[in-house]
Amino acid sequence: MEREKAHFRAADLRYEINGKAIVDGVSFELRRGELLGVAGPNGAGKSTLLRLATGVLAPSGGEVSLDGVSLARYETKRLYRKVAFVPQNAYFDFPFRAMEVVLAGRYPHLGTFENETAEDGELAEKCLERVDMKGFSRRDVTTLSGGEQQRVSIARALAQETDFLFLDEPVSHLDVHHKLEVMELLRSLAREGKGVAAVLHDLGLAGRFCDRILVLRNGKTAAVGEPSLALGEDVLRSVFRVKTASAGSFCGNLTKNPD
Amino acid sequence: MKTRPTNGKTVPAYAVAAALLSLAVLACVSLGTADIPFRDVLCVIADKSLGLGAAGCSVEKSHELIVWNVRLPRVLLAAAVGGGLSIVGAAMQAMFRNPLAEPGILGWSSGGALFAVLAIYAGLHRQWFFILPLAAFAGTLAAAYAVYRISSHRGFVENATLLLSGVALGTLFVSLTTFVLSVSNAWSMKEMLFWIMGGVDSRTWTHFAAAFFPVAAASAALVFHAKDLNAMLLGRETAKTLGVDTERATRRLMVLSSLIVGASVAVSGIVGFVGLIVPHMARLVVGVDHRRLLPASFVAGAVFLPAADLLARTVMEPRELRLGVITSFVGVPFFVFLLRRNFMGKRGA
Repeated sequence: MEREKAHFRAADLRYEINGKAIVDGVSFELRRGELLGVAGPNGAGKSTLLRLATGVLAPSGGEVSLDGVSLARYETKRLYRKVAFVPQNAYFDFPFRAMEVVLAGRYPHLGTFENETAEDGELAEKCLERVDMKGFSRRDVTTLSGGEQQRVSIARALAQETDFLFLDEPVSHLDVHHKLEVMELLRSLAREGKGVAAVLHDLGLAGRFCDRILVLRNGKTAAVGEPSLALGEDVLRSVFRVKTASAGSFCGNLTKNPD
Repeated sequence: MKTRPTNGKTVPAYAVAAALLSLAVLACVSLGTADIPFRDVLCVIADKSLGLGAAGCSVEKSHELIVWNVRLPRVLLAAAVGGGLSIVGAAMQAMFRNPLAEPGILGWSSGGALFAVLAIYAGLHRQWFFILPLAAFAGTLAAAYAVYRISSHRGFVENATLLLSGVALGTLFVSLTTFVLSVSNAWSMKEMLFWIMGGVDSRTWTHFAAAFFPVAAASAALVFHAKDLNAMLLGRETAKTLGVDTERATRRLMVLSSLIVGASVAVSGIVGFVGLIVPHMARLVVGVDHRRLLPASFVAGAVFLPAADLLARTVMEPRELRLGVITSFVGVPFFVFLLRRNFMGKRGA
């Protein structure tokens, strides 16, 4: 019973730069086993919200707690054995091998003088496989395409073996096939028990794959709930300034081509 | 000791490094304007350092003086400075995520030189020689901090701003150094050239000690941050969520690096570009992982700079070129190559 209550909670988060609120009183929860989409127009505060949620930024107000304990009270490495983050535009500019990047995901599990073990290596290989990058482990990451680099970053976060995973626009650089593949991966990670939250610009994908969607506008929560509610016609019109041609068809137009 | 899946060749690598280093030192001590038989070199070193006595070999007094009092401290100092500047270059390129970062280009070395010259002007070095590396450390750290503050915003460092502010402040520090030398009693063209175009000529065991101990200690400490540097190279946000406190790590790395650069500059002036060339070469051989790159850069730099100094003292003999002239000749074309590859290659590809 205790396990069910235990999850990730952000309460009344605020973040200000020079007195201007970028995130303004947002609250949300993320349960283990759930895929949460974060949507909203450009500048709505989605990226900042994820940075606050993962402890990259300290909030100006409000609190983030994990299993009932405030993020600020976690020992750093312990926190990042529970929470992983894939930032936006995670590009590489030094010639790491893909395997070395993924193995960096093991750092929170290692002491200062400890090196990765052979088991860590096997785990890293599996993580590369899960993002459809099998056989790339010895490749120089600077020679990979933007989408491939993005998938290596996701593999790195998987290697952290965390309960919660936050991704900022994880499918933005991907082609249609890999977009669907990564969304299916996030879906199955949630099914396996991870709590996953992803910033998504493609409302069709968000609606189709996510359990719940958090819609932000001007740093505030505009809507939250199941896709049919959170992406209802009034939200689409007032927040995103678009409308659907036929009611109910918004989320169902894409299908994946099985190679 | 756990094994690393990406590397199973640690022991031979260290053996190769040690052999390379000893060979380079021996070669650089043996070669030079005065012709000294290799046997004499070995005899002097065995006698003086290991106390083996004149084990069956008699060496001319002048040869003994040249080997032990002139060449050996000079070569070992070059090795310490070269190793130190190279390991710092590798660390700076990762902490700023900038392939062009280097103590000379970012103005750190000239900050160190300015404070060393100020300490000499105030006559402090006559009380205690080791005040020089300390003063240079303070100057380097001040320069490093100033350049960092100018080019960073909320912990993010902007690449072009970092380079430009480093070059601008570096120029200012060189001007101030020249100014202080001009108004001081120590003024001479030779003195000025020493600081601005660095070198390891007429160095003694005292100079070597002043550089070696800080360089060795701080370099060892830098290696403990190897995984932090790997993480920082993946970007600041990623590093943070891998458990690295990036701001604190940057501060620590700047202090350790400044200690090395300060100790080097205090006894050999500004020797540019070593920290740029050597880590890039080392990266081609051992890859990006700093657990290998930092030691490899140190060893490669400790071979490179004595070799560059050998060139400096032999190509135009009996005249000597400034060491900084040699490193610039190699370093500037290399810098331009990297500049074009980094700022234009990306857009082209």
